[in-house]
Amino acid sequence: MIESMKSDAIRGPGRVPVRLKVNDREVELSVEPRTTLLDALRQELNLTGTKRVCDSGACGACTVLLDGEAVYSCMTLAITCEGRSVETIESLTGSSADAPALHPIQEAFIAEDGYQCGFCTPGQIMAAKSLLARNAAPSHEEIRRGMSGNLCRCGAYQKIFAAVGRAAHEMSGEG
Amino acid sequence: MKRFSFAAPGSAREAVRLLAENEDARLMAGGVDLGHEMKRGIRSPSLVVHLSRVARLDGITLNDGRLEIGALTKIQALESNEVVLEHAPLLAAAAREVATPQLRAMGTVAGNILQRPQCWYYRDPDSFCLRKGGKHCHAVAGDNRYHAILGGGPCHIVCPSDLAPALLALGASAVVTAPDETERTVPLSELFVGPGVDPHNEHVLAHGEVVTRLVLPSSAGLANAFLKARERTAWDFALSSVSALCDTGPDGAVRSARLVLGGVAPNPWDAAEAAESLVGRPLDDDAIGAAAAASVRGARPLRDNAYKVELTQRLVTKALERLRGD
Repeated sequence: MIESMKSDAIRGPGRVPVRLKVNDREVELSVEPRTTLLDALRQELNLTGTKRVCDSGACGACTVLLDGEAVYSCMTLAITCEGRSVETIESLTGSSADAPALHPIQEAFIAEDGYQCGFCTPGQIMAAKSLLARNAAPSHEEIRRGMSGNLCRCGAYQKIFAAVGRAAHEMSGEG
Repeated sequence: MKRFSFAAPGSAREAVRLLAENEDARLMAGGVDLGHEMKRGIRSPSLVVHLSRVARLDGITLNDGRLEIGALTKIQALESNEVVLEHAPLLAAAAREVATPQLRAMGTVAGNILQRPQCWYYRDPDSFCLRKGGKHCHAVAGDNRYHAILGGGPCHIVCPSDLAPALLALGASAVVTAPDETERTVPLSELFVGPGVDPHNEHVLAHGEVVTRLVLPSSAGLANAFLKARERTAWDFALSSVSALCDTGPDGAVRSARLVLGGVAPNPWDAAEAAESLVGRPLDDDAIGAAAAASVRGARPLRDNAYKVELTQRLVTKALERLRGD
């Protein structure tokens, strides 16, 4: 094992290589230990769908899935994601001809008008994806609770909850 | 955020050694609280020792009627784990009220109980308050609506954790690995220290000590309630919280009770006198009223936070009514 890979190796403070999977693609970042996952996604990988708003874990706009769990990427250091799997809003839209253009959650947000300015929407949708993965048929109260880590400054909450309910319905094949 | 070096050792022993060799190194678990302090420049360690690669620091087991909860167990896991639901339902109830789903998926149990105060003067990068080594607690003359009503002074922070009061009520202890690699067990009743003893630290752990797990007796079958008052129903820290636990005999008389308050004192506040006043009598309205009054005895509110006195009494009343089965 080379010195830099030893478990007790001290890395940084300059740029260090970090390997992780982003949207099913293996990537190697070169980031300082202080770089957040949010900044790495946006600035190193040009995945700007994940939004930077409060940058302090107090709004939810930067929500991504880390090994399937919704987390705030602004409060997650990229270096701590070594070997882990990250899903961003960009993973939802089909890229091949036979994949649907939009994910059912995205379709549901359009159908229910689940946004106004739209800036919090990528975070809302990733939070909804995590919620529906755990609970395929949430009650209205479970939706409110499951979506409570994402602020909408426009106040479109009722339509966001309706969109998540619709997405659950569509995704369970009952639509 | 200032630059720092990073290490993710594979064992608690290595983590302890890295801390011993680097005086301003800091431990990181979920990274939420330390990350916040580092972004604000309140702490700028030269080395962050991340615990994610340390084996066996997470997970929940039951051995001989005692729960063992790994220090890095995510708060989210406490909400729905079957062992916790059966043997420490009060802890599961408290976990459900922490922050948001995302923060519960990120934050760890030990990180939650050892999180630094949320006092806005402490968190203000431009404020050099008593807790940060300055001369004065700015809450005394400043806006102190969220500060302590019990046990405050010379610094008036409150315990921001929901899990710490619940774990104290449950009689939990922290198992700590020291720099000389020995292990010691610190009951939560001895883990926290008030600002009168140490205005700079909320606990007795020395630099280089690592909490590896929490142990607590099973409280299966005991009536319990966790109630938390806050301004918003999501995200917010407690204005006041009550962790209540009681064992009632077949005659309806209380055999033993615990009442611990969060959000009102610098540390989880053991309202022992109030809990003891319940013992030997049924949980009737008189007993509940007397315990609620006793729970805030000695309160010394500041200019803006007297509301917490009545709020806490009402919360205690509600919690005890719930224990009664109302």
